Amino acid sequence: MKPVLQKRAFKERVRHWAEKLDVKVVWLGVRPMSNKWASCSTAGHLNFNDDLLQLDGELWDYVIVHELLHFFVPNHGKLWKSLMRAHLGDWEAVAAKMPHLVRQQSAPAQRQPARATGCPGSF
Amino acid sequence: MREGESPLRLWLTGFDAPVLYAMYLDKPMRDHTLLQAIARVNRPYENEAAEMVKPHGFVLDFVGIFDKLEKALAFDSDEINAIVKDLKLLKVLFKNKMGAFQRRGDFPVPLGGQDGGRNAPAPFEFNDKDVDTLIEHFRDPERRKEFFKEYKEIEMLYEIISPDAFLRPFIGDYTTLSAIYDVVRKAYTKTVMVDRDFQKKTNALVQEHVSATALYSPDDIVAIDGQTLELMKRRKSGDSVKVINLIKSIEKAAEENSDDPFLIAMAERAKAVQESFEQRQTETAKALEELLDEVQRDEKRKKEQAKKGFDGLTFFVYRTLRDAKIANPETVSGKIRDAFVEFPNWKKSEAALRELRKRVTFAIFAETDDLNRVTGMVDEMFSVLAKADRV
Repeated sequence: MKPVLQKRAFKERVRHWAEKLDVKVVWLGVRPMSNKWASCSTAGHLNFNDDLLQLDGELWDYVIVHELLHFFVPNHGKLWKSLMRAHLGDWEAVAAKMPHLVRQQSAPAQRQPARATGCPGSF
Repeated sequence: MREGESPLRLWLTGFDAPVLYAMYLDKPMRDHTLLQAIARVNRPYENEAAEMVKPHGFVLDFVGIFDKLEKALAFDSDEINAIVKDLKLLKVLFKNKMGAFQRRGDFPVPLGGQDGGRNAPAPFEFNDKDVDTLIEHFRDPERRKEFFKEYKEIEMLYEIISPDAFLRPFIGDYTTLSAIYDVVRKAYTKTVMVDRDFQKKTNALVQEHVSATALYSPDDIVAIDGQTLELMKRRKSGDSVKVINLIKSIEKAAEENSDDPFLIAMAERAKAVQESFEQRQTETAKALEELLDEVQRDEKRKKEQAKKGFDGLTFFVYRTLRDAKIANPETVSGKIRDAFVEFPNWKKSEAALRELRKRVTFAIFAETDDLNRVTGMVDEMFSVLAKADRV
């Protein structure tokens, strides 16, 4: 698929989930990011790493729902986990398939995988 | 205090705030501040020693808020709706997951299911037979892992949803499930854990409803001594429970007597029995027999050792020598013991270990010509002794 179409398909997927979860998305961006897969702000801004376009659909869903749930639950606690389970089923198995991000700017010797779950709102 | 800041903030929160009997409302309040204020004064209190009982609080409303309480408590409805929607979703998930357990045919203990949603089915009462069935059913580590994961998911949901009338028809089965989790986890976890196993609300539920019905629980530890055999025979608990009991008891005895090489070696063998038991390579009855055999042999060993007047280490060396048919085992083990006394820090110092090994090897070598055999024996002895005294 062409990159443009892929991006469109991805955004379509985000809107689909946003509607399902009743989230008002003010800004939706898909752009190059070096050390995280996505980020969100409570004001309704959502940004996704464009490397996601190369990944499988189930990983898309995982990242999208992950971010959208942060509009209600700003952490990764019990409530967040249970909601993930309600929407995605065995999401832990999917999360395990997420490739590790490698910082692109740093020297190869210092490369570190980005943490899949970091501070609330971004990962 | 800053302008516009409510003086209420000062005492609205805090767990150690003094008991408050009456509140006089003389300024308008709304939403969470109002709710908090009412909840603050309406906190019941009881002190048996001082014979104090406060069943409810008293609010004297000078403003007239209570006339329009509903309006004053009108929270942002969008916010509430989002929460309610989420909660609904989680309830569905909880119901589905409980239903999956209730419908499972292979589950060792039957769950009651819903009885019209009116009354909760009573939690299942475990007897010795049930506990045994559970232990037997969850022998396979993979099966346990899967069950633990499923249970933890349900527990998480319960903790979020509770308290809610929705849970009522599930309470019985949920309690039973929690009790099963408790039994299985206690039976198969290596170390006795601190009480962080249940989440708060579940823990309260289990404390209240699950009586210690099983007379001999799998984590029940017995002393390993002359009475162990008789005790185990007299017990009415099932074989699987006995197997777990014995393994745990042997491990505990080895831990407490970490300077006794016999007990350490015995614990190693018990661990092997446990592994093959869990992998279903050994039948339950056979595993129990092997473990009882271990205990019996150890008793014999202890008696013999006492008769010789040896300590654990000397007797261990003596037995190893005697089993290998080395001449004069008493004298040789005496020499070896002296060597150990001379190099007390052989575990920490490479040089001391080397010196000690040399002395031990020569002590045995004096009685036999086969150096290869001696080296093998020394290797074996040290591998057991290195495991002893792990502190």
